[in-house]
Amino acid sequence: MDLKQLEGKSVYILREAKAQFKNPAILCSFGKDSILMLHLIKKTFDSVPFPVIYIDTGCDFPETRAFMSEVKKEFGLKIVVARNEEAIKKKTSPDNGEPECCTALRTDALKQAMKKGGFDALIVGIRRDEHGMRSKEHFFSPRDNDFRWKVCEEDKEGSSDSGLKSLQDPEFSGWDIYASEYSDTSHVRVHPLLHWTEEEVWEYILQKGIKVNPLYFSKNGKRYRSLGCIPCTQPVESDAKTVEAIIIELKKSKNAERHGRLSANQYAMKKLQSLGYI
Amino acid sequence: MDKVLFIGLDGMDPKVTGMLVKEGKLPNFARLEFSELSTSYPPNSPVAWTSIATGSNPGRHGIFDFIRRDSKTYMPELSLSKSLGNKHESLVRADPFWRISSSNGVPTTVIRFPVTFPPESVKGNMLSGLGVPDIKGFLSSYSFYTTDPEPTKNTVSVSFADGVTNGVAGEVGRVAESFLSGPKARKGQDIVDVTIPMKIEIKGKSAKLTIGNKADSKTYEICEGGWSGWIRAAFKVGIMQTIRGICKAHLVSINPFRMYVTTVQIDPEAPLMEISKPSQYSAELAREIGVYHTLGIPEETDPYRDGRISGKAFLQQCAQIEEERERMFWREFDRFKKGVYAFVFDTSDRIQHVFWRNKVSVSEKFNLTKEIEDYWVQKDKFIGKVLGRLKQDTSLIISSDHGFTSFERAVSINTWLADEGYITFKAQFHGDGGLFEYVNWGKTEAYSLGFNSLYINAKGRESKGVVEDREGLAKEISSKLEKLRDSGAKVIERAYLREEIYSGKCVQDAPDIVLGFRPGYRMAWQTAVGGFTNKAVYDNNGPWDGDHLVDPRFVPGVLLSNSSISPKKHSVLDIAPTILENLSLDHSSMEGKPIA
Repeated sequence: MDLKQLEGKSVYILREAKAQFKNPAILCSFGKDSILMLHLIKKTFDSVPFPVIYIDTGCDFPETRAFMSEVKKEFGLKIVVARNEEAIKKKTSPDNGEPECCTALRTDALKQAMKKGGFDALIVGIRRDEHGMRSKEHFFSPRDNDFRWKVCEEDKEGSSDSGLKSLQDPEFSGWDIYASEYSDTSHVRVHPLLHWTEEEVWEYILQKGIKVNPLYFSKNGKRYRSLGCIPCTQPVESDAKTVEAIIIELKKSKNAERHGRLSANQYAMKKLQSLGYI
Repeated sequence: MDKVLFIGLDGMDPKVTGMLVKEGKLPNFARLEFSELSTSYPPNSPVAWTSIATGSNPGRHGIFDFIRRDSKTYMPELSLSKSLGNKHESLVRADPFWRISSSNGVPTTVIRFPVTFPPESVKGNMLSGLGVPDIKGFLSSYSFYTTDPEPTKNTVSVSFADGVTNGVAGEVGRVAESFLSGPKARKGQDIVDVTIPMKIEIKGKSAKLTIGNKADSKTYEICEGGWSGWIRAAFKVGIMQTIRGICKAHLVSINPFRMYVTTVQIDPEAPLMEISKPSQYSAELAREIGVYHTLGIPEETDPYRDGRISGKAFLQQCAQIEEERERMFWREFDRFKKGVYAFVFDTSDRIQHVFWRNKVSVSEKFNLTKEIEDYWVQKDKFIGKVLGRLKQDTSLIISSDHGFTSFERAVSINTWLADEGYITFKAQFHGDGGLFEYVNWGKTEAYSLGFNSLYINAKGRESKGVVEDREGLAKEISSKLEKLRDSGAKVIERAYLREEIYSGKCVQDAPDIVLGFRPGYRMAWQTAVGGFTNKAVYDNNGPWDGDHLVDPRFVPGVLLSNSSISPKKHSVLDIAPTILENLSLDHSSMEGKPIA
């Protein structure tokens, strides 16, 4: 799909979301996918008509906060900060276990904000190519009261061979038929970027001259490929200081004979060069 | 005698020793019998120390250079040990003296002997030396924190904001949030550095570092120009998996802010991998003498060469290392009742590499730098203490692995091979093309890597070998190399065919040609890692101006003993047989002969 087609599909999904839901919100981390999503929303509606939820875990990068202020001004955003004060006071950290920390500082904070705002849909910039779980996601994806993605339940009527009953109608995204109507859910997740790849996101950013968080660019031979909380976000080796360089780097790593071959060679060279004689 | 004390002094040079003895500056060394000691082919530390340990030539022990190649992939690899994931394996294929003494029930202690990583069990204690990696798996990886606007290699940019330190009104300092980089771990598809937070607060002329996650952070104070104590760091790499490391910080300046942090090394009290046998010995030693540098080469010449720290700071680091080594030495000396005790000091090698300052080409007069003189004068005092406490029942043997000469001109053998048509490239490239990235193996006949090694791309041996007559081509290239001139000066004294200098079961793994450079010349680092340069011979301009990777005849080492040394020529192959002879143990499997 070319960038125009990708954009067109995202716009369609966003319009469907505005039509179906009374009070949607946008989940925004101010990473590259979030920023792309804000640009697409503005393109679709000439403004960003929904509130933006930002999850403040108390250990975010200062650069992200600074960038958030810039973007807020540029887009005229209404930002709702989701923060689990109790967990932050208790000094919850990855030392308690990463899943426990994320649950407390992210999921619980989000739950509180969604309940307080009465939001019935959450527009989120995840992509299928990010990892295995997300590859199975739908463009419109319901969440139960515990914010879990309930795809199926036990078939008590015994009408299916598997013993399971699907809770989601299939999406025929090739024909733009999406299952966007749900009941008995806490909210529905809307994923307008699900069909984009990481490379396509960067190519669009380059084409449109979109400004992104400076942490994506190389500093001291390292850059961040994705952004999260400081304790659990690690930079990767990279010399890419521009969007063009990032795209070249992504293309190279995709085309390597074995994945990670470039990293293995770089590691081997660093090991040799760590010998003082060199 | 049933007691042998072996002290190794890396890089001790007979002309330096002779000068200082003549000037009366080494009165304790002067009390010992002295001889020159022929070194190995080539005079690389891992090669020479392994010859000292095993009493055999590299054709028997299998270590030919700092760097060897994988004949299937052509990749250069360190020969200090072989890494298999998180495990390491020794590449030494002959029995060192400590294995023979231990298997005969003789108490044996071996501390910081080069090429003893991973450690092996002895009838006593072994602490590994040269070859022990840091917690990233490298031999060094220092960090340099700075507010300088154009940070480069190994730097971490920091920016300070006004903050309140101590919570005390009126005491306002400046704070920067940074991180300490730890081991490498796989996260998803990427290999990343695991980091822990480091807050830097500066007030006046000092800095306070708060390192670690909230639950277990610790604070360290440093004054401008000073050093921190040992920083203990814990890096969480997975569920229930924490890797511990140690490092030190040196505050170069407050304004601009510049701070050097040493390589994060294996914590001896909680080692990531075994660095001693028994495995708990490293922790036991740390509890007795304090935490110590575990890295194989802890004297970090890189930050000095990169201009990050001064020569004074580098020497301070060396002094810290020497001081803890002496504590280590005496701890074992006090327990040494019987058997063999072998201890190697190798700081001397690093100091001579970066403070040599003598040019072979300028004059024959040798001017010893103060830095090198001070080191040997201090070492002489140490030897004096040893002699004072040594009983008559103990045989003392002191030796170095090689001597030293100047390093003025770098020789890129790969570039020469390409110029002569022996290497063909598959594409034009910029940069040095390291790891042979652009070499067309199907049209390449010879290649070089390491510091003295040249290989023929032999058919049936290398995976993409093309040369049918390996021996013939080796002779041809050897002859050409010996005719190589640099503005009329001979560059290579001898380009030895391996059959001339090696014998034994490992000869088939040896380089086809071993390069014996003339004094002043050394292999270019680009060739050492499979790369290329614009010119085949060029000036070496860095502070690393002393070296020993030349023809072994120009850099003999020294041999000293409290017993008589026979007047014939001795070599590094004679040390192990001498140790075993003194212990009345059989050394017939070794090539060397006792020195008496």
